[in-house]
Amino acid sequence: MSDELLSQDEVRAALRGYFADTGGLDEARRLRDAPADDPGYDAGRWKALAGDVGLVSMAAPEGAGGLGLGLVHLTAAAEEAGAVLYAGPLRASVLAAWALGSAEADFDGVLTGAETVAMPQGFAALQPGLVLDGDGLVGGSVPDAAHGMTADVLLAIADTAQGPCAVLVRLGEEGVTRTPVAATDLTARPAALRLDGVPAVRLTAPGDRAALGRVGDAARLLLAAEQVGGAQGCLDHTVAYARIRTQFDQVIGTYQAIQHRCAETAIAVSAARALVFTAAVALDAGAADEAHRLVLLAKAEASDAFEGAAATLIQVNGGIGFTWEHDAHLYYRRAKATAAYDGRPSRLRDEAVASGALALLTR
Amino acid sequence: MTETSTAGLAAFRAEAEEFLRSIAGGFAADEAARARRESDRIASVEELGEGHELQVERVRNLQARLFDAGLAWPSGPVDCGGRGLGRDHDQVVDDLLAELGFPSREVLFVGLHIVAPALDRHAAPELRARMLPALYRGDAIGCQLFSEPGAGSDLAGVATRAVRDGDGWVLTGQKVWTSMGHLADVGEALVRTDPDAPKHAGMTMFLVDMRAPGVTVRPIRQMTGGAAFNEVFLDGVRVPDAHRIGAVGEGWKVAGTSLGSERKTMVGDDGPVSPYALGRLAALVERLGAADDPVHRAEIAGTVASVVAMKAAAELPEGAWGSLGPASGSVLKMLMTRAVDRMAGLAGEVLGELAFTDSGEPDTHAWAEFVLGAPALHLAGGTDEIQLNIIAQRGLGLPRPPKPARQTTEARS
Repeated sequence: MSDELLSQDEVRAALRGYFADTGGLDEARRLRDAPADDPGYDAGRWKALAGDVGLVSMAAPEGAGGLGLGLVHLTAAAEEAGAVLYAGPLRASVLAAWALGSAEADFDGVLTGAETVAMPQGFAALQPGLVLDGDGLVGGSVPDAAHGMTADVLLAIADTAQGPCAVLVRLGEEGVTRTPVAATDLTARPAALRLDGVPAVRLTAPGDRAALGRVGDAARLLLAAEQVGGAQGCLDHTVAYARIRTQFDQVIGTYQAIQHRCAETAIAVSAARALVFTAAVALDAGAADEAHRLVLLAKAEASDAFEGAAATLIQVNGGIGFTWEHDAHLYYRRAKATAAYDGRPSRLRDEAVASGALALLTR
Repeated sequence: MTETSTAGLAAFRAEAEEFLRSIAGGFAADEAARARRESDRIASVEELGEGHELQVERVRNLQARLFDAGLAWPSGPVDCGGRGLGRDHDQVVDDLLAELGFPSREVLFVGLHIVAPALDRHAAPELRARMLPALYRGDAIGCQLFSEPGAGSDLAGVATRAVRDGDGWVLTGQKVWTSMGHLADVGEALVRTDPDAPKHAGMTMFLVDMRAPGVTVRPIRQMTGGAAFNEVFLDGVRVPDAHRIGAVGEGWKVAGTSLGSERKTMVGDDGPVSPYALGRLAALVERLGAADDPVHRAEIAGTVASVVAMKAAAELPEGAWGSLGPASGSVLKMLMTRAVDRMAGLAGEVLGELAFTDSGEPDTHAWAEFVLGAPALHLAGGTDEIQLNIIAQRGLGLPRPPKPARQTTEARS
């Protein structure tokens, strides 16, 4: 089984090592001052992550040339990427590879990282702006496709006569219009995509809401995992500063008010991480209903944890934390934006209860 | 942790189930167990009602049957009456006992989950070999003699003294908040053996015979109305040196083993977030149709999330904790108190005044006891503030506060 092949801890350690060796936050920091038409990430670094580290192929099913690792592993990777505000197309690419199972067309380029993937920021909201016709051609628009300016492939949801399905669209020259869109999260470079009769491959059967829901849950969960990582990143930076900054002749990290604020953040991050983990286990096990409820709760908790941790990062840093030069606003911006994508926490909690979350109490 | 094959576990389960069914008859008639099934009562902290002595004897009897059948401690070492199996085997037995309606073994909790780990890890071979089977067989009920009136959160401030006297020690002082102290046969006592040594270095751990001359136990009535913990007075109590747990001056280290184990165990099924309480809460919410009321939905979701997060956190792979690992027990304890608060909050919210005035209607006023018990959990096993200090200092690596000019207070960490 895949668990013996590579443990979640090993994936985590590999990604952590990779980001530590390659400058961590540098890429996000560079984007802070980059022009609007900047592709949004370092292509060489992405290829190394996807190909050399094997991040994308490990997500793909064994039949499609991957390791068939599950969401337990992918969420660990997404957490590490989130901690350094990684701006590359990680979430879209691993999600596409993970969902590749039934696609007939050749997407080897996606697995090696040679072809990059775009996806709507709020994929799991399941509101298709695209229509797939009987000839396999897709038309319509995606208003905020992450990595949309440069991506080779789009992962999205399209309506058909039989109902919605997930599709992969190859974004060639013909019939594709890309327009940059301003975003609060400076590490995201979304584009509005207009498609007009572009060939698409179906990843789920039209009208198969269960299969589509599974992809949506995976998308939302990977976003939640990135948020947990983002919150962890905030905590790490907060603690690092609290250990060296002196006020009133004392290192501020010795004050109980600061210690408790950091500890409360650590507890919130641990709770969100645990929810993401248990939701991933349920999704991997194919327990669809249970997984759906857990994913909703995990995303809500992860949003709260990230927003809280980003606020704490700014407060503990004091005035410097509110400047353009400091990384804090990069975290804060992503925290605020990702808490809105795929549903604000209050909305998700309401949905979770409506879909029977009470049953999780006694599972 | 020992890995187990699924087949091995299934065979073990079958064996355990066959044995438990064979003795279930004797315990199904258990009045206390039946009272628990039929009573309305629901609590977040333990309380001992009338007739509990009989209940204690039945639990001892059950534990002895389990031990003799090799089911009391499947994960324990073979030389102490265990079977050297994985911890999942312990869980199998716990689940079966609950399923088949055996009485709760709560009275054994402190001995098995707080005292035994310290003995297992730090006691001399002779004491370990004698006491572990006694605790696991239910022959000895254990209690914890840590806190004192002047040393609660500042646990390293214990003042109870132990003075050398020949081949033993003489203990004098007062302990407090001793759960099950009035039922216990042995107590794990943290005492000061060197008043001149630095605070944390001058302490030693002993196993005290609770029936020895000089030991007086006095129950304390709780704000919920019942009594399960006690004051314990030690007046010149003689303890043989052979009953020392760990080296002289290393009591703090031994206490760490007990406290870490306690915090981790509090999130388990035997803790306040028990399957019984969760089942009752889910049924209550269902009965009142609260999930259909938009006013209650956020509270329901928050409660479910906090309970699931607590349980899932206990299952997280090691790497997920990162540097927080050494403080994971404190994080788990904080997640437990949060879950209990949420549960109490949800019950109180959906019931409203029904929870707080007894109308005689079942499953309403009963929740007041659960609500009233919640504050105790923020204190037991180390206060919230102490847990946060531990998380900040041992988990996040924040520096300890500078010591005041005269050493009076110091966070326990």
